[in-house]
Amino acid sequence: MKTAQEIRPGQVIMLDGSPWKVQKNEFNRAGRSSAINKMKLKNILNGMQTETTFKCDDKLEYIVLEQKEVTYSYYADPMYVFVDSDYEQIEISKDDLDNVLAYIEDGMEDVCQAVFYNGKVISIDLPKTIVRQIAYTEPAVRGDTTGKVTKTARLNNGHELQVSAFCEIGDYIEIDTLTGEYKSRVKR
Amino acid sequence: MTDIHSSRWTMFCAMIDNFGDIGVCWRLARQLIHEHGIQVQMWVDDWPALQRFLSVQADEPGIELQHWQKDWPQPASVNQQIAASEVIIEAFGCELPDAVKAALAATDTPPLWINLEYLSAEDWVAGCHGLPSPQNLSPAIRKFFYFPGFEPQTGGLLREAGLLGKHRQWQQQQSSERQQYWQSLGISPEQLPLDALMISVFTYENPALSGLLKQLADGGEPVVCVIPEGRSLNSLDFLQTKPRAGDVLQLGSLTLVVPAFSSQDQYDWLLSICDFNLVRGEDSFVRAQWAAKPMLWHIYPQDDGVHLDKLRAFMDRCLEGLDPALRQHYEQLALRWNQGEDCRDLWHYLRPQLPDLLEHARKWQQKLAEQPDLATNLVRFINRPPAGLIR
Repeated sequence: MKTAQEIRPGQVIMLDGSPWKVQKNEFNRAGRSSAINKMKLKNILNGMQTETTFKCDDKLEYIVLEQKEVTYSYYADPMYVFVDSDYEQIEISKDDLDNVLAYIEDGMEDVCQAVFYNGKVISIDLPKTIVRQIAYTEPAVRGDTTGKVTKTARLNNGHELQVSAFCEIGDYIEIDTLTGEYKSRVKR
Repeated sequence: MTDIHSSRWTMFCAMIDNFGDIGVCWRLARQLIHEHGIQVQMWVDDWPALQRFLSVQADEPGIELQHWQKDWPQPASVNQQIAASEVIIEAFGCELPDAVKAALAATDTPPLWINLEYLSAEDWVAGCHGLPSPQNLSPAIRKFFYFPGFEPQTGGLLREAGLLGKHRQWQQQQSSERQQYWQSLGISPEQLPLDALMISVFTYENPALSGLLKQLADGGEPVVCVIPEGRSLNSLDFLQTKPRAGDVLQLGSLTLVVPAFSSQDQYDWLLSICDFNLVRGEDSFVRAQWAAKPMLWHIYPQDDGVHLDKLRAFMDRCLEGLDPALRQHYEQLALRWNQGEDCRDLWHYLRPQLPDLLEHARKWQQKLAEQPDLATNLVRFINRPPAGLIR
C-alpha cells in the first residue's frame, strides 16, 4: 500500500478490482485538511479514462510492475518507439507518455524505464534528472547570479520552462522530471 | 433517484479550531432540515465545545446530536443504522470511524459518501468538485469530494432562504438597530453618535490589530469596535489587561466593546449593522459577504504560506471591477494584515474610500446570490450524482 501522496504518474493502482494507470496528478491544499491528489486515470484493461480525487493520506493498493531499460529511438506517428538492450522495439502511444512527453526529443540518450503490465508496455519513466539544451531564451540579465530571478526558456523540442535569468541560448540545463522544474545550468 | 424528502443524512464533524467547523455544519444541517425536509444526525467529537456553542444558539430540535468518541464504543446496531442513511457527510476531511466504514462495506446499498471540503477561491477547485474518490472498501460505495466555492462549477456557498432580506431590513433600519445595541451596552446616543464608524473584529491572533486600534483611538473620529470574546482579544498588547466579556472601554475616540459569545443569528446582525467587518476562517468570512459590508479577511494561516495564494485567489475574484487604485491599496492591506504587518498608512488611505468599498460589497453580494446555495446544490448533487469510477 502507498498513500495517495506517494503515487506518481506512470504508476498503477488497483481500484475496486481494476488496474488503473495514473496518467497525471495534481496536488492541492484545501484549507486546514491534508493535501488532495487529483488523478487522471486510465483503465489498463479497457482503456477507459476517468478523474478522481483522494486525500493525500488515503491508502491505495499499488502494483509493482515489470520494468526494462530502454532508450528513445524515433517517432512513427502515432507511436513513440523505444529500443531495449537487445534492440527489440517497444512502441507506446502519446497518451501513455503524458507525464514525460515534454522531454522526449530526437537524439536523447537518457536510459529510461519501460513499465509493463501483463506483457504490455504502459508507460516510460525518465531518470529523475535529465539534461537538455536551451534552444531559445531572452538575453541573459546582467548582474543577477543568484538564480532566483527566472525567465522562460524553450527546449529543442519546443517545451518551455522557467530557468535562471543568467541562462543563455545553447546552455545545457538539468531538469527534475518529477516536478518539471529547472535545477541548474551544467557544462558539457 | 433518492426520495430526498424522506431522507436521513448522517454528518460527522471534528471540531478542530474553535467553532468554525461546527458553525458550518450547524448551518448546513439547519438548512437541510428546514428547506429540504431532511432528517439530520450529527456526530461531533468535542462535546464540551459543542455544549458551549449550543448554549447561545436557538433551539434546533431537528438535529439529532451524538457524541463522537475517539475509540468509537458504538454497538454494531449503531454502525448499521448509520450505514442505512441516504447520505454520509464527513466534514472537512475528517476520517470516518473504521467500524462505520466496515458497516458501509457490508451493506448492499451504502449511502452516498460526501467529503465536504474547505472553501477556496482557487481555480483548481472547480476541477476537483464532484469527483469520485474510490475507497476500495466495496464497489458499491460511492464517495465524492464536494467543494464549496464562488463559481457556478463549484458547490456554492451556504445561504439560507431569507438571509438577504434580513440584511436589507437591518440595514434599512440601521440607526434604530444601533440604538438598540448601544442601549444594551449602557451607551446613550449623546455619548456616541449613531453614525459613528462601527467595526466588528473577529480574527485570529494578529500583531497588526493593536496598531490599527491605537490609530483609531488617536484619530479623533468616533469609532466603535466590537470584539466578541475570542482569539482577537489575545492581540490587544497596548492594553494593560486583557478585556473580558461585558467590558466597554473608552480609549480616546475609540469605544471598545467586548460582547459575550453570541449566536450565529446575533453575529449576522452585528455584521449587518457594522461599517467594516474584520473576519476570519470560513464561516464568518462567508457571512460577511452576505452582509454586503466592506470587510477584511484574516485567512487561516498555514505553515507553508499557501494561505496567501488562497487570499490572492479570493481577491482576484471579489475585487474585479473595483477602481484600480483602490483595489491596489486594498490588496496591500489584505496582504499586510495577513502577515501581521503595520497597516496604519493603508487604513488612512482606505477610510475615506469606505463608501466605494460598500458599493462594491453590495455588487459582489448580488453576484454571489445569482448562484444556488450550497445546501440546494448538495441536494441536487445527491439526487443526480455523477457516475462513480467508470470501469
